[in-house]
Amino acid sequence: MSVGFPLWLSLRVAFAALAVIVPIGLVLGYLQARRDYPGRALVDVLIVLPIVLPPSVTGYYLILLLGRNGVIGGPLYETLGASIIFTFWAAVIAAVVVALPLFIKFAQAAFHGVDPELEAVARTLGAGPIATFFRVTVPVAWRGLVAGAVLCFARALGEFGATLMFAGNIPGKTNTMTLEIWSSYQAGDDARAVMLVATLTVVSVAVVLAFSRLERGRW
Amino acid sequence: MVTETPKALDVNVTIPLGSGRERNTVAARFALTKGILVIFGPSATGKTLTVRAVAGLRPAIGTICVGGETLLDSEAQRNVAPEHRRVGYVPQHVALFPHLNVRDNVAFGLRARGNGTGSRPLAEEWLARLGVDSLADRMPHHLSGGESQRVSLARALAPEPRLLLLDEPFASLDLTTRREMRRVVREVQESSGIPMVFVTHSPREAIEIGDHLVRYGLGGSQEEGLPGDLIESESE
Repeated sequence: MSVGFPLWLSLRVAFAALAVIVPIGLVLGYLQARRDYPGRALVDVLIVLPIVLPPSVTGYYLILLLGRNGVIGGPLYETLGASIIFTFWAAVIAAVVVALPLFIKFAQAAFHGVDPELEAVARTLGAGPIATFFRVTVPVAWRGLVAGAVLCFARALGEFGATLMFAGNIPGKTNTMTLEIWSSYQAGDDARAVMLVATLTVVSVAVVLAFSRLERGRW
Repeated sequence: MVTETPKALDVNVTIPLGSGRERNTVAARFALTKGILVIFGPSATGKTLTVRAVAGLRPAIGTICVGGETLLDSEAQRNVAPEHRRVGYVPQHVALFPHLNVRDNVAFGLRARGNGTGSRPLAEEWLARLGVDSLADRMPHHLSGGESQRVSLARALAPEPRLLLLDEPFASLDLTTRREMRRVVREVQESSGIPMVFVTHSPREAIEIGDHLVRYGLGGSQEEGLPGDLIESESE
């Protein structure tokens, strides 16, 4: 089997995860940086949890929550016959859960560094809260946001433990690059393992270079 | 019947402070017909809070009217959002948008109000009025303190606010630049007719720039009058 499928799968999973992470992360990062609300400290703990928990533990929680007998997954399977576990979307969810906290933390720090007076002035100049967010807050926090996106994309691309637990390692379905490297090595197919490792290294370097262009292009 | 011309600004508010302070509100009550009103007094007497409340950036209880329009009326549950008040604001620390050049900083308010095509020439016109049109393509971090303040003024004036608030705008400038900036503010006020509220803790600045004065004292006292009546000529 060629390197093509796992590579294509890994990239799709990572980009899909990024597409889910960025909007959620922007909102949560901003709330955590700027707003004080009851339960804020608890939310902060919940956000950090997937960073400190081993990915296999996170994966197991995902099974308990979204598996066929899970708290949410159970009723979902019974009523709609839909099952998430061991699918493409399971791989995406696993990547989102482990990578989202990284982006939120970066976004939070980036937004924290934006002078609130800039936002205040923008409001008095006639920009509503949403226009102010996209025309002032985000551009000023741009570097930190891009750095967070790079790291979280890399984390999603490299996700292993939670994906193995929750999405399985099904050839032609959920065998992402990292899982495939492990399988090839286990099977004693060193040539294939080296090929996969080299490909993933090149892709990772390319991604970092592309993002750093994006970062510089702005200022 | 004679219709009374509406006051440029009419303020009667109580502004709650964050918890844990000795005094937990600031009361502000004053009015301005035209020209420049100076809010003068030592620090921590609520001067900044007052202008932020007028701009709508800080919750307050009471009434605020600008040019005859009620922006805040707590009893009638009316509280116009800052972006709809048309009240300009020049903060103490300039706060130019670091990601935009000088021209786009000044054009920001024009674009936010929907004037997309005319915003650049208009922005340049305001830069010229403040004598900094040569800086249009510069980024804010390449400007001196005085230049930054001129750009900040141009930015606040460009959308033609009904009222302009200046919160100790020259506090970080040297004496010569300060004097020059006061002259610039007076000139712009007279030529544009835009009423202004100017916050300062310097008695000399208050006398030089103000048509009307409100003195904030420690413990929440407030006196209103002509600058010469409230302040004996003191040095800066």
